[in-house]
Amino acid sequence: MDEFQVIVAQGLTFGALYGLAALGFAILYHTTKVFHIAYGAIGVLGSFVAVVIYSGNDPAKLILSVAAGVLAATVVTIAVFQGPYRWLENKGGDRLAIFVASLGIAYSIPPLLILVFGPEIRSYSIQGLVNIREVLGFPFTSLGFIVIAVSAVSLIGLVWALANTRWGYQVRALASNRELSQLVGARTDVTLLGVYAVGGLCCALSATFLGMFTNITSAGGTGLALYAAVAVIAGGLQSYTGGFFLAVALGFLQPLMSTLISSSWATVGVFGTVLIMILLKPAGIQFRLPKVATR
Amino acid sequence: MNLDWGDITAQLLVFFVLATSLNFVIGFAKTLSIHHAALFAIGAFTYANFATRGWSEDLIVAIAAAGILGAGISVLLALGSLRVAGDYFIVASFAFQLLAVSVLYNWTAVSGGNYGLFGLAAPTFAGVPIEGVNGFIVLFALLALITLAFSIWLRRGPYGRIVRAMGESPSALATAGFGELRLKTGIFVMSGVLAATAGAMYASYLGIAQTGSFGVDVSILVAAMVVIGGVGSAVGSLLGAALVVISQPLLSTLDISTETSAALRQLFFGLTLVVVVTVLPRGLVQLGDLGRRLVPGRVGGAR
Repeated sequence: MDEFQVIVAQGLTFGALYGLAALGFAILYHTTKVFHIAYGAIGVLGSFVAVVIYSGNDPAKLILSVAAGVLAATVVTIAVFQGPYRWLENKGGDRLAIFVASLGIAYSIPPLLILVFGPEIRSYSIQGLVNIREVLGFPFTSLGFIVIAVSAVSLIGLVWALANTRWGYQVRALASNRELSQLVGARTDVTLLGVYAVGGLCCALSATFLGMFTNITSAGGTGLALYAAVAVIAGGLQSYTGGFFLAVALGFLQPLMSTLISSSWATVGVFGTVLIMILLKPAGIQFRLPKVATR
Repeated sequence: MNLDWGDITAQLLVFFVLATSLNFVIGFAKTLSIHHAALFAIGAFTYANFATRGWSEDLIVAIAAAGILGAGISVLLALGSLRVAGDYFIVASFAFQLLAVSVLYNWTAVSGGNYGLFGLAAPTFAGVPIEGVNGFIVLFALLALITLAFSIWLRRGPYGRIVRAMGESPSALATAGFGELRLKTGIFVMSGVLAATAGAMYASYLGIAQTGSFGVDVSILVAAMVVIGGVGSAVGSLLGAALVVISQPLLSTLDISTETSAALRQLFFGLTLVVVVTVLPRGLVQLGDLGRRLVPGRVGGAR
């Protein structure tokens, strides 16, 4: 097994994980225009709920506890968007004010988790899922395959739903002109509930998967939110696939930098690349969905 | 209640200077940055290197060097902010914060790595030795007064008004013939110099500089000071800094563990940030305006 195979296996696994996070951030950002930096912290909250409920080594219990975590993250996402964000919007607050509120929420969740669940670092006992097995010489884990499959299905499902379903049309209409879509009688609240649910699902799942590979810490959401935000913003406006594939590229960057430079300087390489990418190509990579067609 | 008021005052003055530096960028240029802890760190490690390498223990020399470094980096950040704005700049600023602290952490010759640089000797200022907490308080009060006076001059002066107008509408100002490059670079440089100065003050007072003290959480905390106190207001920076600095020793007097105390403090500031931005969009200084309106017979008050 050489370094190239390790980079490919790790890059694909973590890239898919960041891609999943980017999908949730993208649908919330493109539709509501809110720079929801609390996204990662809410995902970690879902992950904490899941790990606290989960005990033993039963796959059914694992699925149920992850579902509970996703539900918790979705409820909090709805509460945050319908609560402080909407309040600020209705009062004429600008995007900066909404971002500051989001920053406050992101800052509040980690200590809240410490106070409720205790300060200790949590981890899943899922030994069977993280054992390495070679596939065509590439060192994947079963959990890695699950992450890649879930991310791929989520991307295809979301892009299909946005392009082909009534909800998808309404989401895209809301994203392009909220006032107009409200004026023509679109049920924006119902549509937005779906958007929040997708956002909650993606953030909780990606944070839970990340916690399964490493550990779950209350402050672990910052990095996840940053990766998702970078991918979505540099991926291009309204481009779900652009954001997703850029997140996958970010997943590759960490093991690649560890090999090329050193593991301690890898973070410098990753964020340096991110900074250069944003400054050089702020418009992002454009993989646009087809325009909303009239029926 | 047994609080160390000397320590509280010294730290309050440092954080006032730091909060004012961020207030320049948010209040004047209307640009939210999350990299101020990195500029703060650059100032702290500049002083720490001057002290440990025997270059100079005079704080004024370290402040001058830190200011030049802070200004140079701020020019680059200002150029970046001209290229990307809004959410894009926030992400770039976030990435810069993580990048800068990672560079410092790994550059052990400059930062001392995980352990940091410690045992820094007490500084002198223009040749006068700074002795004890009271010596630091006098010096920091002087620096804070200069910062306050500069902030008020900037707010009332023509330059400050033009920069604020640029924050509101860059295109309108460009139409009037003012270049955004010069204005934005100017305000970023002033902010960078002040943040680095605060860093040098901080390291000289504590006698230690560790990269762990300059993480993204510190950047968020400084943003909280500015927003809670009042964006664009010098008094607001002082109020925000006071709230942050006093809360830590106040919570430590409670019979709870250090972890619970730290968590409660962070939760308090996170929630205060949300409440202030939703209920008091102009921060705590807005309470003063509300108070004036309630007192009858005063100019602008209720009749």
